[in-house]
Amino acid sequence: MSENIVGVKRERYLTFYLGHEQYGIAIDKIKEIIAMMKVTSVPKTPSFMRGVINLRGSIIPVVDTRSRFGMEARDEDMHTAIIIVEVEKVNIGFIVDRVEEVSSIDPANLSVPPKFGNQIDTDFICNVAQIEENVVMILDVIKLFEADELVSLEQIQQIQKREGE
Amino acid sequence: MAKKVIIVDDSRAVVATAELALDEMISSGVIEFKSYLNPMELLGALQNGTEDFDLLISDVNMPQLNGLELARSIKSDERYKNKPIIILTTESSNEMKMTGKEIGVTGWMVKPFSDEKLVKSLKMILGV
Repeated sequence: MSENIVGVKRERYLTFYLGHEQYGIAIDKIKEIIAMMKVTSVPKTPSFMRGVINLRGSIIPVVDTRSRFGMEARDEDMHTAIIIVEVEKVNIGFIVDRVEEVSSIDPANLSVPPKFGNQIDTDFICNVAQIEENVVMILDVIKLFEADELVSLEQIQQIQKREGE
Repeated sequence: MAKKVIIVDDSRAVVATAELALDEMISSGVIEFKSYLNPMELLGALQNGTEDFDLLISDVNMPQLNGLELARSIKSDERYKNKPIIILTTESSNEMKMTGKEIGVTGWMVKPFSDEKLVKSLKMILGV
């Protein structure tokens, strides 16, 4: 089949919205999508960390994605969802406004992101893709965190796990 | 040939969740996956013969048309009456199950469903 020819393999991404902007994450890193649930805040964590959730017994740190992207807060509604992504062997939840769909993107339609000026750090956008008439910013989730932040997320998980025992 | 699986659910998150769960079957070409957010659109396409499926997964509570009514309409069409339909629901009352049985739906899946359960059910129904 043509889609299996090496070099033209279409990558699949889960796309979602934050405000009017559409973002995508490669699906091989995604564990699941869940509806918004109660998030317990954890002291002394980076400001964009909303807290942790208890998902079927697993403690998962949850990122306020809007806050991480420097966007203003927004009330949650029925579309608000948490996307659970594996980042360096740690499962992390990302709160998004609305999940859109799983899209196949031909690598030929990916391009390097333009510079958006200096007010926000856009290192975590690894590519920009055109899907029909929409522009989707593909995220490199690991770049959303500083190295020490990932370590602290792992620690949050471990501490919460111990406390739960 | 890939078996065609259609999911109809007005929630994009549920559609994406199912697509993620079935990713291995989709990328290996075992199934072809298509989704509809509007059951009326699917019904129209089936009725005028521009759409077909080997398995349909349908939500129940959708604003345009209830999933059980959708299943009833599809099953009343000669072309689709023997095709399997799975109903996705958040709660399955006995009354609902009776209706489903009368219509001839193949199975029920309670949301949130596990990836394993969805894959297992699909493989069993499609014989793949």
